[in-house]
Amino acid sequence: MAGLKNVAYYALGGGHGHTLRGLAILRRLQTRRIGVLLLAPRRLQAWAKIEGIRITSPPDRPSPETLMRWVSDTLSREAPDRLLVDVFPRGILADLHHSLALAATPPWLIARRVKPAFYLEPAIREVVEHRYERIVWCEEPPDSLRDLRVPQGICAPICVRNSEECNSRTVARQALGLPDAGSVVIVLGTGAVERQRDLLRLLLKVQAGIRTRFSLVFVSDTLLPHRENGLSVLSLYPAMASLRAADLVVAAGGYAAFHETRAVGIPTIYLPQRRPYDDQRWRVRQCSTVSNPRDLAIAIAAALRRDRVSSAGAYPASGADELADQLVAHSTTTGAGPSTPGFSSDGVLPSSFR
Amino acid sequence: MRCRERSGFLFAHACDRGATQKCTQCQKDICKEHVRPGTICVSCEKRSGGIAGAKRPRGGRDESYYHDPYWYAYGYYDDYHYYDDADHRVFDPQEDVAASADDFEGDFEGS
Repeated sequence: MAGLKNVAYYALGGGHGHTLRGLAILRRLQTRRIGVLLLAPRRLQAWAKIEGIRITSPPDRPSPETLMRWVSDTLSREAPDRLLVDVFPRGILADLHHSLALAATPPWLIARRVKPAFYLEPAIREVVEHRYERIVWCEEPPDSLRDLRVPQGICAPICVRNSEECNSRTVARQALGLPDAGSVVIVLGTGAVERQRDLLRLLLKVQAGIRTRFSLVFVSDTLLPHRENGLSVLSLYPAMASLRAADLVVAAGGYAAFHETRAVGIPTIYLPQRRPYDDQRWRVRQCSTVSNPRDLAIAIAAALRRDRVSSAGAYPASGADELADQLVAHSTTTGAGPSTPGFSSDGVLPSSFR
Repeated sequence: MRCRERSGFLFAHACDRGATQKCTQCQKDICKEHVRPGTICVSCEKRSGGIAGAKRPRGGRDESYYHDPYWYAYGYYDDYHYYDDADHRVFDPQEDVAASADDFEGDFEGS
């Protein structure tokens, strides 16, 4: 492949993480003057517009046949030099399967940790091992998936911003309309709207009940924006850039929230949610978690007194830059094959990044 | 008339019981749970140093002590209904899957 001219990123999963990883990687590629295109749900188009990244979305609520045709038409029209597929979202095997067969070059699979049963499902395993050029793990994979017969590599966590790009506490608070003094708790809302409403209601009870006063910022793109004394409900992209406004973050255990809070180094209480293919409990296993309302209240009160939840300390989340470098490097080598530094041809992964 | 006492180890929450009398020191309306010897409220008892002299019952559990809302933290206050089913639902281990496999937009598989 003589140079990399354009890359498409398939992020048609329902959660935010697929699109956030896509935006992170495409943003870095775009700075390298590579054409990019994001395939993502329509409701996340505003994020791509903020980043100045081309995005295309299928019709709302498509049938499987419509989706398959849309993916095939899009990839045929755009003809990217490289297709990146995020995690292989559930239920999408049908629409990608046909398109992969038409691709000039096999795609790369960008995978966070998944429950092994997903990729070991025979039909999915067959496609992964025969239609993908490599898997790039952006999180430590389960041991059983290291046996997949496809070259595998690993990169650092992929976050939409590097920590040095994130606002300082003062700037972030100004941007959010918050006073510089006083405690602030930022909540990264995720999941079904009913769950987010329940969480907001609970946190308002905690805010009213504990003695330590704090302002509550609930980030959500499904709840209606709202502002009153001590409470802001708002849509915020990229939320990562504003996390330093917080003394404490409350988040589920999804990929983006977890790695963004760790990259910025803000004390966080995680409320892992159960997902079919994402093991959030595993991801937050070494962090502060709670499992009932009272423990949440105690943890918040203690954290704001700075005697409990400790910051993990910021760590590099440079996966997007690493992956962009690998894509460019691979495109300049003659001949296909897993000879790119950081990858091995025998399926043995380098040591984990954590 | 509602009890005007606020107490709790972590939560300074309002009492929602009906008041039965007034504190003889501060005249605050208080319920029978918050009245202390001398017909004073819990807050006045604390100001008068009554708390310092109080001791945990020895040998055998004094149920009334453990139900004293002034003393206690959430975990022991059997009558503490601050959190309801909706609050506990936040931690419900049921999978948060919004839709079927046919509806990829609703597939909140998370990140």
